[in-house]
Amino acid sequence: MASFNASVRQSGKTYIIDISGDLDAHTSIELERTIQELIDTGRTNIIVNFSKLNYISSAGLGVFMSFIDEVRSKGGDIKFSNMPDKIFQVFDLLGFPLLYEIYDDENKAIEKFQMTAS
Amino acid sequence: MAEEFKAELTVQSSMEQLEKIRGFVSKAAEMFGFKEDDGYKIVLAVDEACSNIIRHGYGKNSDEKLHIVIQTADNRFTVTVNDNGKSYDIRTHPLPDMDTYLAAKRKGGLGIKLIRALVDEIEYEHRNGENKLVLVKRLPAR
Repeated sequence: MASFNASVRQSGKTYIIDISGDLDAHTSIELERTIQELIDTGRTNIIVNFSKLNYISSAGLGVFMSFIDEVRSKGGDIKFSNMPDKIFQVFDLLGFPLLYEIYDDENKAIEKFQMTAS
Repeated sequence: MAEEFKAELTVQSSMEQLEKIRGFVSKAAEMFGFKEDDGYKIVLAVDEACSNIIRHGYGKNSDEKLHIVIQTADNRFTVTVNDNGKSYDIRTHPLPDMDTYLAAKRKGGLGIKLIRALVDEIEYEHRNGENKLVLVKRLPAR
């Protein structure tokens, strides 16, 4: 398997997924599983931290697309943070910044969740 | 002038091979003189094309093969992907209107849009049961 890893941290009521390595049509299944587990256990305030991600293809973007409606319908959101320029350019090419909140710093995304909750 | 060379790679039609394909294209792109940004673009375009062939052309049958040839001349970096799967011309694929697409939050279908945005030329030929997809990216003028 290509080098990809997804691990979850908790900050209050927010769950941060750190992804690293290459997110492609092969490894996107692992990210799908990680997000599905969070949703299944009622954890829908999700931040994906991209700081260690080296590569993303449309299969990776498709994962976020497939969960966003369900997460938002449950009162949560998937927000993105710490995106390297080369990754952002792929999101930008497809117009994803219109649909997702993208923060340069993870803490700003956490604050946004806290503001929404209060 | 950029370096002229030819390189070839044959892999099984499995998603597991995408990393190897990317490594192959990335190394050649760097040798050719692409900056990291443009290198990323051609690597992504080839990855999307190969994923499509594996998923749709071969229906995820990993017993088949993909043959990839990289050839450079002047300022042109040409990647040819050969396969024997189902024929499909990505040049004629209707592109989704992104507003409608994002509103519908569909999962797939973004790969072809990316390929068409990332490379300068696309050619496709289906002959004697073989598909030949040619992607060309030019080195930007200095």
